[in-house]
Amino acid sequence: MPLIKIRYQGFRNLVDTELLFTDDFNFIIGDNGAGKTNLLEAIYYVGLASSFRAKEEKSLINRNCDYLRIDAEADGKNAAVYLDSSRKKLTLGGNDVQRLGDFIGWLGITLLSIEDIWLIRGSPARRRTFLDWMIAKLSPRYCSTLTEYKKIIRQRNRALHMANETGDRDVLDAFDEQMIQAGNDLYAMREEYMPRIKKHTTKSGTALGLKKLEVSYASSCHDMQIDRKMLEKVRMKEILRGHSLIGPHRDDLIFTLEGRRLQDFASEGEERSTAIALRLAEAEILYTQTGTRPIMLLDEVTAELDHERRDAVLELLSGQIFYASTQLPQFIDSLPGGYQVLRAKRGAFEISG
Amino acid sequence: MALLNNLIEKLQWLPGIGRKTAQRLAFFLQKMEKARVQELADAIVRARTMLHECSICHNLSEHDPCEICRNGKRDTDRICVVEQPSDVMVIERTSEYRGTYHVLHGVISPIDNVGPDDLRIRALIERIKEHPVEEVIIATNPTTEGDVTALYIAKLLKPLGMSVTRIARGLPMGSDLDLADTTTLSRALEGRREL
Repeated sequence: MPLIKIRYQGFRNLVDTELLFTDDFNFIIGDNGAGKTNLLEAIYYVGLASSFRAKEEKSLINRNCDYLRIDAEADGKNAAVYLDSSRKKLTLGGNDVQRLGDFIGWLGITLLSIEDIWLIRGSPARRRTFLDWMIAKLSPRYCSTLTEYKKIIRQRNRALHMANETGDRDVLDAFDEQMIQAGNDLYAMREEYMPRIKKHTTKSGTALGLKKLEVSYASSCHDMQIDRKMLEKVRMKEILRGHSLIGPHRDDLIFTLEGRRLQDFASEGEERSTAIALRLAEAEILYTQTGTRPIMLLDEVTAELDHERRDAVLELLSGQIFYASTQLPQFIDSLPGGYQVLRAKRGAFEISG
Repeated sequence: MALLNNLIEKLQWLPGIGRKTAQRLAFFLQKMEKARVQELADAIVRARTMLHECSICHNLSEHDPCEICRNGKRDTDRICVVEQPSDVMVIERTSEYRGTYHVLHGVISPIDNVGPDDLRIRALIERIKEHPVEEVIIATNPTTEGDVTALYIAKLLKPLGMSVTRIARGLPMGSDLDLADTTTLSRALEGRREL
């Protein structure tokens, strides 16, 4: 579902304005610091109500403004995100939306970034975040259960500390019950999506020249299910460390190439391609599930790839593309569809072509 | 301006009152009749000094036991457990419930350092041991903490052999399904009943 229009006020260093986009390629070209990534971030923010790089959400508000507001329109739908120092407001079609999960499905978005290599090299938390967002984009229920689960874990970790100090386990028992319920809810939904993620990752991997790329789920709980007995087993360890040691928040995704663990031997190019395969798989799943193509945000993705892989990636892209780069790419002449170029300079954009 | 600033600062002690609201209230008070201001101040002080926790249900009242616990027409076989005194007011307004109450004054929340001993849970158990009841209805809020508190209390009460129930969660009356958020809706589906 193409994004037709965006209007933003007070977002980072961007000059307040309204921009119209084409359904095909939107090239965002400019020097570093000119505002390319900020524009991608604005699009991402109005779609998913969160940032892919800001640690502190308030840092999105321009230093000279009290608030930020972004309005967007896509295929007859419109949405807005408002943020100031005390509150955040989400609106869909003019109505306030209370829950994040009811908002984030409105505009399908997949982001491919040069930072994605950390999906492979980084900590398990990065891969869980990927998985969680992917499913949350499709399931409001997953989104709200996840929020609840995270809260339960925070409370439960404190309850473990308290149990260590007082020796009283009754409060902990009550949190166990909640954790089991929410945790198994998450497990069931992850289990439902894993076969699709596997299938599409292998498929886009092949297209990118990766032989037998496979992704599998490494669960801290047997059979992706958590129960009282398992918690009993780790009880002493958990109380000593004051941390919840098993459950959906401790799981990971494992990548293999022809049966060998990717992390053990892969080249940087293979790692980058695997990350891209994973992102493209996400886009495919969003497409098959919702019937509309997600918009693709590309942030310097092809910069570090060799020619062959770059061509392969471009071949796999479809739908509306936002392509941010310092230079206009060569393939622009061979594009079958339409495109427009947005030249970024000090937070403003000049449209041509 | 010192007097005024002092007042504005103190008004901000109240929950939900920021600097702007505090200013507005402070200036509003200056326009009010002096007698009315006195009335307001008296009401605040009187309520704070004369209200006490009822020794049976721990609701706030100027009498001990409170009006509800002393009322002979209430059904003493039923206790409804709530988080706050304000919850008692809300349920009383329905005029549907004829049983008694028990006010916890909070919920279990380890990250806020609130454990069972900081609430009136032990008092509830003692109360029931002394005067057994048929049913305990747990009406804490449908939040993580409200649910954990409900589970915790249920576990302590079950061995005492009464029925322990939890209020249902569902859709607001008179509104359209498509206006309900998805979480509320899926919880309401889970709790569906045969017609």
